[in-house]
Amino acid sequence: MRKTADETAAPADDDQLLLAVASGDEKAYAALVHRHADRIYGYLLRLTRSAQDAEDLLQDTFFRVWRRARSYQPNRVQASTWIARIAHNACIDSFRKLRSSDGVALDTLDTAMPEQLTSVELETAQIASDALTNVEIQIGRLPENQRAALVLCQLQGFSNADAAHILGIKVRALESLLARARRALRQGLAQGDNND
Amino acid sequence: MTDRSDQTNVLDGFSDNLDRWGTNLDDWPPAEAASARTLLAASAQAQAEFALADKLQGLLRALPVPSAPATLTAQIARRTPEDCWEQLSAWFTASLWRPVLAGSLPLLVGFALGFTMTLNLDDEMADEISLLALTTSYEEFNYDL
Repeated sequence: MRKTADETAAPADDDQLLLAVASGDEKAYAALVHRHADRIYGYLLRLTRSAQDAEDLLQDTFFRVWRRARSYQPNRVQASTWIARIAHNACIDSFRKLRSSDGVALDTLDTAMPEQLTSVELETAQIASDALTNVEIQIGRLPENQRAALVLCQLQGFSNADAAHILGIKVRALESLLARARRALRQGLAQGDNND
Repeated sequence: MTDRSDQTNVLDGFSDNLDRWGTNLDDWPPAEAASARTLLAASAQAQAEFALADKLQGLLRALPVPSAPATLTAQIARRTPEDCWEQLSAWFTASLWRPVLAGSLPLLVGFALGFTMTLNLDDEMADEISLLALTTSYEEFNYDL
């Protein structure tokens, strides 16, 4: 039987919230959304480089969370990792759709959306210094798998093991992506310093 | 010559590890961390590499954290599960089941009619229908005419 918001007090931790969501608790669902929306949005925005896409995917992510809450196993991964993996998969599905509908090749996607890059650059430029804007642009130019690894580990604070789980790859593969991403950024930064 | 190339290899390895595990040497495997500390104490080039990586790390930490629009978060949080199921069923209906149902409707109607119709035939009528079904031509059917 479905519990209503009035019957269930808002549980404290993510595991309890997800278990409550699995049994149809709307209040727990709302609490989970408020707790994780910013973090997931940040990840999606950096991955898609489009505020509109990130917003659509945020909705899709929590829709999936609602539908799949019953499959969550608290002992396997943390709730935040589980939700981030759902967000990542939603994003990948969206990229695939975009590629199949537009015939865009996998590696060219990064350069195929200049107007999206511009929107994020502008957003960033308003609140950050030139150096930060430069780094943000460099991140935007990374291939998406490197960008995802970097954002998860460096900006979202996930451990390498958790980030590897979110991306569905081995830890060594993740470290390799991180290494390539940091090297590219470091080279970009050194180049920027030399230009200055 | 060999010493210089060895030194280059060591620096390249250090640089790779720096990219792989970041600037916090405590996060590195112990053996590699110990080698890195020794190298950093001796090599100005390693120190320069480390300083650049550390600067990058600092910049990444300082990047603004974007927040989801408050109205969007509230809207997602407010959306009831019923709405979600409605969306799901709408998706199914629109994308898959509607054309399938539309295509199979005549078949379903045929089955329904077949199962519900009852024929009251007398023996003579039934014989004629059987005969008609088994004959191949009109002449054959009218053999007694």
